[in-house]
Amino acid sequence: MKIIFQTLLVLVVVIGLSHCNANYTTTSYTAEYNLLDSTMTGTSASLESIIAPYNDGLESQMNTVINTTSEPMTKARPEGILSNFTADLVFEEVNELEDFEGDMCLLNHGGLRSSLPKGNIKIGDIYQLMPFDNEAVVVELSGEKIIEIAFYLADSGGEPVSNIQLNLNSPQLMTINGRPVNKSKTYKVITSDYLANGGDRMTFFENPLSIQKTGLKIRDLIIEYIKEEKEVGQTLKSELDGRISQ
Amino acid sequence: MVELVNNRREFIKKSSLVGSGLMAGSAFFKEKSNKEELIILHTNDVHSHIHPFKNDHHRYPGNGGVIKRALLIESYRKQYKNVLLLDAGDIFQGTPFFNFYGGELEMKLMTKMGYDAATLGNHDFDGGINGLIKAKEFGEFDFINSNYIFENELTSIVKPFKIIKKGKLKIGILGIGIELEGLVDPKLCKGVIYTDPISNANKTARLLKEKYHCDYVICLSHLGLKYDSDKVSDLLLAEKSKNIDLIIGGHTHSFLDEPIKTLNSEGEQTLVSQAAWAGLRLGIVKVSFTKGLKTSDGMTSKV
Repeated sequence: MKIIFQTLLVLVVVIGLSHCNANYTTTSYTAEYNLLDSTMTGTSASLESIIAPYNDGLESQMNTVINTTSEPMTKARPEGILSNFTADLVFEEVNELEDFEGDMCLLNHGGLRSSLPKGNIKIGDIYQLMPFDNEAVVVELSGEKIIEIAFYLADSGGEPVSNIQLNLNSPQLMTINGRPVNKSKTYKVITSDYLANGGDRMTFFENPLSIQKTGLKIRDLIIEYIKEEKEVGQTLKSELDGRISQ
Repeated sequence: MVELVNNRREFIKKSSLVGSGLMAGSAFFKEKSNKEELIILHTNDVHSHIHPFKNDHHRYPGNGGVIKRALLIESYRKQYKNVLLLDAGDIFQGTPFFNFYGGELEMKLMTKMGYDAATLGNHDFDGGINGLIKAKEFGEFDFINSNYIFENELTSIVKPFKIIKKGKLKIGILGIGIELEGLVDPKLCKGVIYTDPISNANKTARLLKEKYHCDYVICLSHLGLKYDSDKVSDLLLAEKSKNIDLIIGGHTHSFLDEPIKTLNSEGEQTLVSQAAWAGLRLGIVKVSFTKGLKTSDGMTSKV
């Protein structure tokens, strides 16, 4: 399938151009975008032979089943099963690390790149969910900045969060671990380095009181958590609990 | 080859509609040697998509993939003498091939397909400066960027511009990168300093046209096609540019029906193209040239 169009340029002989020494002048052009769709067939032995060893190594890794779900898990706003699942597990995993603790977790809706299917969950599914190599970090912020987070959430309509509760119509009343935000206190927010560095215009992360890098990729935390659940005989699940309401 | 002959004929017929008055028949017998044709094939934001999308994919079932692209490129190389193959950045990140192998495979495949040049997208820094240098060891084509200053080892693999000769044509290529702040973790792009896209593009394009006498200047850009805000984009660059004939863009993953025709700061045409993302499309721009139509004394020259 092709999209084609053609255009002719009108030739203009410019009198008195002082510096144009080019030998060849454009007279006309045509352009198209070839859609590399499934009607195209054929193979290339030389390319296949380059890809094969990489592919084989990857396939065996990606097809490893690490746990199961009984229902598909998808992200949503203001909260979603997959959104809650991911934020909760990152919150839990980072808090289990020695020398790291956080009061809440904030990730980004846009960073969850796919859903988890019903049934077997493979490592490849987690790579699709989280293709980016983002690192989990702990950012210390003032209570005032935490309120900015609440207003950001009200504005965006919700992001994956853990250990907070808010109504999008009254963001100033957000609670952390069930308690109102104290503006004179400081809080530690578990998030990704992408967001901590200003991604998705989360400007409240600018000039933090402190930032600790865990050195662990969020994707690896997810895989780790899912494997741990399997070891204790748990399948994967989460629920909507009204942590963000409208 | 039958197709080639037909295309040529059709082209001559069309260009004569426009050009007959100017050429006044005098160049008729020399027409063949006076003409050159350039095929520019381009991709952007391939994002490590080696395989086609899965057959059950909700939007692009079975679409894309390196093999299909390679076969199409090959068919153009067989059909035409002067073929350029270019990429506008974000080669990396998006499938586990990048996470596991750091871009090595992408570089090998682009080399095999015969890419002439690519510019850097924000995600090409996702493996850090060292990751990019390590991957590039497997890539035998040039990275072009004209608006980043490198205070790191990238100076060894990124060139400010490149001149490629195809047939009798001299093609100048420059590259423009997006502001990395807010897009790339600062530790991953340490020592890369972003400077103004428009002035640097114009400066480099002028050099290519005036000093090196390039017949055609292509800007590989990762700025993005256009924004609602006044953020610099390909369309804004095109309007404020001079000496750039074609901008091949990326970053916004734009699906266009045709390249956008804009007028640059001199009122001359600058084309802006972009070919979706993930290797879903191959952009094809076919440009015809005639020798000596525009000369320093403004007269139609004889060859």
